[in-house]
Amino acid sequence: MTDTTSGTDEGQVSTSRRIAAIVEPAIEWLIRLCGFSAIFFVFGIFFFVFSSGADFIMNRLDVVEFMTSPEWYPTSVSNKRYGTLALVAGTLSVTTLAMMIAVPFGLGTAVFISEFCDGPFKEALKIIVEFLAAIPSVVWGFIGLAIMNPVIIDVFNAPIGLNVLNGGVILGLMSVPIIVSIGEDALKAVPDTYREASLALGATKWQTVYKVLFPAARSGLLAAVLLGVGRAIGETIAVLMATGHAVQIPNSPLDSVRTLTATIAAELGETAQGGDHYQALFAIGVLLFIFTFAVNLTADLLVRGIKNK
Amino acid sequence: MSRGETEHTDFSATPMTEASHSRQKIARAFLGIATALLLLPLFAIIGLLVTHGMSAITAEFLLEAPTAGMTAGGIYPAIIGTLWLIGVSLAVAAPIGIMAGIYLNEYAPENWVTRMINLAIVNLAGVPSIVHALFGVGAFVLFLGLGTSILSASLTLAVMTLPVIIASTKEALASVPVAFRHASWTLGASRWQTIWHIVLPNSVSGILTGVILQVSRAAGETAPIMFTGAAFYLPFLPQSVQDQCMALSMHLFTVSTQVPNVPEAFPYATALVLLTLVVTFNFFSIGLRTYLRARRKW
Amino acid sequence: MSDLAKKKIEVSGLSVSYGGVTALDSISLDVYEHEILSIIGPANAGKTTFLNCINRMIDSIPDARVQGTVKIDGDDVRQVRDVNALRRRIGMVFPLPVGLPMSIYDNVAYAPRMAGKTDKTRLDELVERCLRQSALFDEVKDRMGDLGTKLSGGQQQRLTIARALSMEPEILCLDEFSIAVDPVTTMRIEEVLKELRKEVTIVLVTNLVQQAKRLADRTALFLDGKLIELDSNEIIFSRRTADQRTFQYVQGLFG
Repeated sequence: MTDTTSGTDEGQVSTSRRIAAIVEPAIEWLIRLCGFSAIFFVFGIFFFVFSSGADFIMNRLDVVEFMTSPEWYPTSVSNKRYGTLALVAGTLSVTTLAMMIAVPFGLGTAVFISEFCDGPFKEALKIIVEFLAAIPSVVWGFIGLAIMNPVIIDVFNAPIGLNVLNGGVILGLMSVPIIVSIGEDALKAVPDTYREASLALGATKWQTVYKVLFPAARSGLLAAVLLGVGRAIGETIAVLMATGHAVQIPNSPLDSVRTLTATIAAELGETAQGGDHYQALFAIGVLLFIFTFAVNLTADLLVRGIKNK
Repeated sequence: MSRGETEHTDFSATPMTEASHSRQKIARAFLGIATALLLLPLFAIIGLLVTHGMSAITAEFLLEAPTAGMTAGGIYPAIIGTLWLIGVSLAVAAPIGIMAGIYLNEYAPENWVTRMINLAIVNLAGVPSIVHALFGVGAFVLFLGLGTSILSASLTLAVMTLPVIIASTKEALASVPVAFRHASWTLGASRWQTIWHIVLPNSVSGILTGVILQVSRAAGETAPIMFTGAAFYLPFLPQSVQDQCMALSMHLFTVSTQVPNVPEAFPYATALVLLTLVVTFNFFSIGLRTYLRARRKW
Repeated sequence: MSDLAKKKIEVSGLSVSYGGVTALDSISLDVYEHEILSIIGPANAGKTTFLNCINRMIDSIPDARVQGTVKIDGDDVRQVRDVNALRRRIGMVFPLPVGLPMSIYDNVAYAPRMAGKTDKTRLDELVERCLRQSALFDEVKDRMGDLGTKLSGGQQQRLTIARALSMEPEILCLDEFSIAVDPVTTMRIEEVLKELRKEVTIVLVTNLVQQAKRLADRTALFLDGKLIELDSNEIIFSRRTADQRTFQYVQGLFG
């Protein structure tokens, strides 16, 4: 074909292409670098949290005591003890109660939104769930403190309303949105042909849900629950404000507890930087990191399992 | 077939299917109630915050510094501090997160390295906020020597918000059909030209939605800023990113747990202001999303 | 085609596999300048893969393995430094029309702009010429600002052709362009192609045997990634085919 471009145009072309030939690789290089940032930060987090407590963890930490003793007395003058069992029990008790609330409500809502709602009503419900997710944890904590606390004292005749029950309910409500949204995704991923086949065989919608959709979306729903658990374990400020400050293994939902996360938040400000107590808090951080890493890894493998199916 | 229209199709109702249909009705009612019970607290919370806090929200409360050991005055420095933290963390997280999203959706080959990156993003999103705080103390406050400052706190928040910005950017980019990219490449446009002229213009609102949602999340966080830059009480405004600042979330924590004799309405009012800020960002992002769906170009 | 005609594309020993599955099996053929070569064959015969090798779009398929050579004007396309410059020489039209999400004008002006040609009056001329060449200009001249994606399927396909022509390519490849287009538009595009062959070399992959018969100078039959037969239309569409399968395919006995 004939070339209609004149000399000056050619000149322009080559200049702009020459600039592009320098700029584009630079941008692409930067993009690649940013692409790897997540790996960099995950390692960075582990490295800095571990190394800030490394001296204590490697040299003076009694791992058996750390994992199995319920005695957390980091400020004791005569006999400092760094057992996290009571804190782990605090975390687990609050998380368990939270999940007892969040799993049925979360999955129920996910099913309701995904299978029984349509059109603008469905959209409205999803938006409301998003708003629920948007409430900051410190506001939840304040609700536990200012609203739930007196209610629990009244209803259960408890001496204090800041306890496992309070923290569990708050944390349950906080975990619901993530369970709803991931659970709904998992249900959405089940092909419509499954539903149609089941309905064509005369099954009702509800039968379709529990006989066809639940088995088909099983791993996705499990992932939703696990991510909810991860969120609950990691939550800090809300449980710090709502569960009281008693380092103990709880006997009833009305006992106050202290979780792993709350312990760090409550004590880090009062410790001497670099001291054993300070470093022990970073050791708890390492523990939490590994905990949540395992939970999220499992959830991710489950989610990926669905996608590959 | 839409899922809503299937009930009319049964012609003969045997006793068996009648039983299962009433079960279906019960199940549906139960699920509906569960959903309603869940949404109730949301409205209850907003209602309680408004009724208890509204009386304290005055021009003085919004525009003056706290006085008398935080038992009087307002929350102005906390509002401004929160805006600083949002702004700086966003300035760091948004470019990195968006570029990482571009890398993963447009450049990354399908191999184990990419798999590792995706895994890292999932895990970064799951790291507890207090562990982010420890990282912020170890990396920014101490190792980089930034001290407790707006910069340290914002960087900590940035790392925390990064995974969701990456994920939502990826999703927004993936919504642009692959066929557009192929068409562009066959016309001799380079990869970057294709991204800049075709992909980004058609996904920018989706990307912004994700970024705004993260802003609202950053605004509400307390744990990551507690030890990295947020001050309990600092009745003047920060002058640079090297200063500490107050923050709404931190202020709510402080007045509701640490300070005696605070007027009852103060924490409610603070929570209300914080919630309003967060909800505004959310509304904005939802509005943007709806708007964008309406004017899709294909 | 006379033996004196210049070879525009020379393909020799071209094999492609996707993750171990063979898509093309040592294809060797030449395309002469200013001819219309059509490639026919059933689905999965490797026709699209063949086109993807010419403009190296095959590079963007992660698990594709390519062996053999494709030369354009004697230069191996896989040795080309600037793949984008190569692609500018080759217009490509896909089975399903893809209007880019921008105005009709911008669709046609896209490729020249990306190549750095931004002179407004020249672009205006170019856009009009390409749209006329693809028989679309009269239908869209009053609404050049409308979205290309909102045109009808047939119009979008002609827009795609106009866009392919906007780089003034030496080679035009069309991949089953009439799949999403009504018969009237198909006939119009065929007229356009007959005009264009004066200036460009055309490789026409088609699922319509009659289209190959109407348009092409020579026709090749692909089956399961292999080149079964390539000859002038006189031979291919007669009883004198070298391979029995060609005759059967043309007669519609399988495919």
